[in-house]
Amino acid sequence: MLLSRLAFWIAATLFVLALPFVLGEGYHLHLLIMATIFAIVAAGLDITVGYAGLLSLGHAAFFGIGAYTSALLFLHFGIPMWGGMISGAVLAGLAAFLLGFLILNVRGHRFVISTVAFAEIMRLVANNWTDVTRGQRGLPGILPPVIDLPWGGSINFVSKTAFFYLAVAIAVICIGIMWRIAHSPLGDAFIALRENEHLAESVGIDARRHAIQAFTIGGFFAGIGGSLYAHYVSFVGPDLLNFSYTTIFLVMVVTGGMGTIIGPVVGALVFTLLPEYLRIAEGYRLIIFGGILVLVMLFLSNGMIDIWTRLRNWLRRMSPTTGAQSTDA
Amino acid sequence: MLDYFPQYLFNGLLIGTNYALIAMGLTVIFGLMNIANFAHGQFYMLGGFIAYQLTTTLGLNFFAALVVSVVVVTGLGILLERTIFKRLRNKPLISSVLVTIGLAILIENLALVLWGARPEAIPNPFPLTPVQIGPIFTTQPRLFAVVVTLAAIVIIHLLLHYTRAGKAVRATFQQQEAAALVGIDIELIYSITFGIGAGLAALGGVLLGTIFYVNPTMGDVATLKAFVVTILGGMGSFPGAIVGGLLLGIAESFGTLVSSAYKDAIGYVLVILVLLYRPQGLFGKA
Amino acid sequence: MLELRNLGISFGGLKALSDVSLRVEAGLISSIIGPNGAGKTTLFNIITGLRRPSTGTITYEGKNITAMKPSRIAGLGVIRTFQKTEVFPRLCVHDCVRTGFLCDRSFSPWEVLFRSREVQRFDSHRSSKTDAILDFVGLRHHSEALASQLSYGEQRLLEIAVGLAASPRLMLLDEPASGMNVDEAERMMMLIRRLKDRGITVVLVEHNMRVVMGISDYVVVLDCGQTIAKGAPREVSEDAAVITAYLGRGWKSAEH
Repeated sequence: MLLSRLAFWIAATLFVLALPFVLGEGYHLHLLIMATIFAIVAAGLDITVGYAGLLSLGHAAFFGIGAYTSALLFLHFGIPMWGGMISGAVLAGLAAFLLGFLILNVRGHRFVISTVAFAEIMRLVANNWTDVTRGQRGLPGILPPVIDLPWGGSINFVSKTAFFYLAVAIAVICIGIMWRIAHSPLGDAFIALRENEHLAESVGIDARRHAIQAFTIGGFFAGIGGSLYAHYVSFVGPDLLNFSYTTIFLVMVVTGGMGTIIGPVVGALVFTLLPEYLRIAEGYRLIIFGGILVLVMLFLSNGMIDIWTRLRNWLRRMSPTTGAQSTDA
Repeated sequence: MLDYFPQYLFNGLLIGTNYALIAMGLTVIFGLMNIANFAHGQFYMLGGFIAYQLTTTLGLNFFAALVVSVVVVTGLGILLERTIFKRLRNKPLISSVLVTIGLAILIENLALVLWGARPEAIPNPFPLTPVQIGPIFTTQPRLFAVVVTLAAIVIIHLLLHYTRAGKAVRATFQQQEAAALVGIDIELIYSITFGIGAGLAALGGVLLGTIFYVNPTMGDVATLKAFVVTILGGMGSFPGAIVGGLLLGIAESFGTLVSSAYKDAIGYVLVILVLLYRPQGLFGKA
Repeated sequence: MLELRNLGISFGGLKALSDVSLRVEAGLISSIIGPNGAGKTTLFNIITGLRRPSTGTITYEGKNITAMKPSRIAGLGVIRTFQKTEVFPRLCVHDCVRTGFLCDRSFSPWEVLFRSREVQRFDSHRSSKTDAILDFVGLRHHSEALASQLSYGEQRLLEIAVGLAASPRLMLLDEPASGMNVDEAERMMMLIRRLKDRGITVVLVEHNMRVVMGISDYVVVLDCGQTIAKGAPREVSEDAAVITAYLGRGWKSAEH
């Protein structure tokens, strides 16, 4: 079955590589790029919320910090996306670290509200520090990166196809890193924190330290997503720090399946693509979002991935032959 | 500048009483049911819009519209408690937060669809001629708002302390199991308390619509302010909500002297400071 | 190994513990007994860092641990179980125990990403030892079950298993036999003796006199936050003050 796994990955890779040619340089590819960017953010949020159990309601702030940092570095110093992305992620991670360091002595509601407060402060700064951020007018003209080839010529990522490949490559690396972290002793420590903080502390797991780590990791990858967004959409404004972004990220994580990494990625795909393809008027879309959030949290709190896993287990039980062979987890 | 001190103080108290109204409901819901209701501000918004609808399309008298609106939202609160919030009681924090956020989004966007995004003022019989009390300039609607709010606070206080129902609420608040054992219908208490909390918020919304205007997105900000006040005053503390609301109002009022753009940030910074140095708030238990 | 000197703590106006001093010898099983409200669990909470005492010091293997964080104290080898059983509800038994190995062994994201050999070694160490621990407490057959679905008695065993994964040198067990019938309590006693055989010093808080008298090498009696007797089980059981304080007729039946 190692062979079948390998076959799956090869097929998936070919599928992804072929997508731009199938879809063309249009709206659909645009949506996929957005979905990819959000997948990175959602996966990072999963580490914070799904693995460590820290309900962060300020994630849009880290997304925004990444976007603004990258934008400002490009516009004022000509630093291309590569540098901007790392800087944005580091700054976002640092902000998360500092906030976590200050605030993670308290948990529960108080922590949640302080993340909201922080995000709102950041949004007000983005809106009003017009000298730097130009307030509502935003920062336009952020260009995608260019790679100068040693033998002359260059690869330009302006086209959607090129940016798509770039975004997917970065996403694969980021999500791979997060997967590795989640399935390591560090991830186990986060889970212990979530499941029973009291018990975790009493077997030597430093709860506060790990909470700060999980929070920082989430912020870091939100920063990467923000930077990618800035260089793709070419425009950054204070609306990026709106609570609505935080909500969408949470919806992706929760409906996809918390604590799975893959779930939020699927959630990101679904919640970027679905609303557009259903062609629903703007107002109704959010009503449906709200309704979905309510229903999922009340009845389906393990998300879509859980449905998928349960379906697979059920299918396995139904078919006696595959039940014996299959040992995939 | 100092000449204006009383004016700023009054303005601060004015908005502070409004904050107190929204926060009272939220803090009581939290203290009783341990649920952080992120949809609370929507009751505020709905109160305002229902009153608006009643006075404009149905031509109802302003005072009647105020009462009807509060009653309707109280009823809505009870309904929501029976259907949704009941299920949230023993669920983990993430469930109640996300469900209430979902509810908030749902209600807000429903309101946007129903009433559009334009701010509306609630027609009222008060003339807008300025009224002067000593060094303070104000208008009749504003005075009305302050008076009504103070009256509401006094009424609630009297109800809580001098009626059987009020004592039942306080008993449940302090020790639920014991209250249930002496025959108090906990379910009823929850529903009524939730409903009244919603009604108080609605009252705040109507009053705001009388002084300024209402718009469908005002619920979000109201929820945030309510949380700020609740944390400042202490979650679950009734006097905390009142004092916290007034303090926030005054702080913001004087804050506009420094910078009106960052006025809202004052509350958020205060929240973080309180959480760092006195997480239980002014009146909360450690 | 563990020494408490003049420990005192007050809650509000109530003095929960006053001037408690005792020494725990390494390798022995010691029990702390006393009527309800005597301050036994509070004592455990103070030792493990969950509460800070108003007065007094705690020394463990020569180190002053009075003001240390709980996770740090656990890292030094002091592991406790709780009166109300604590597990990781959504993890399976196997994973619960695996988590215990994380005691004082935290990995940073860099280590996880770049020093994968060390991580791998840690993981295989964990896996091989987990089965042994599950065998030791007798939960091996439930390895894949969810912690929340175990019976009460099994959850208590799981708690001890998780504690064992943390490489304890001193284990503080808070009412390990509570809620158990005679057979279960008997098995718990044997398990605790096996802990001693492994070189772990054990301190129990217990109400079940059969258990206390059956396995203790040393008994301390607390009443109203003060120590009223210390010594070998026999001595303590015959101490007049102890009998008046709480044992009464219960003694006679325990001695059989």
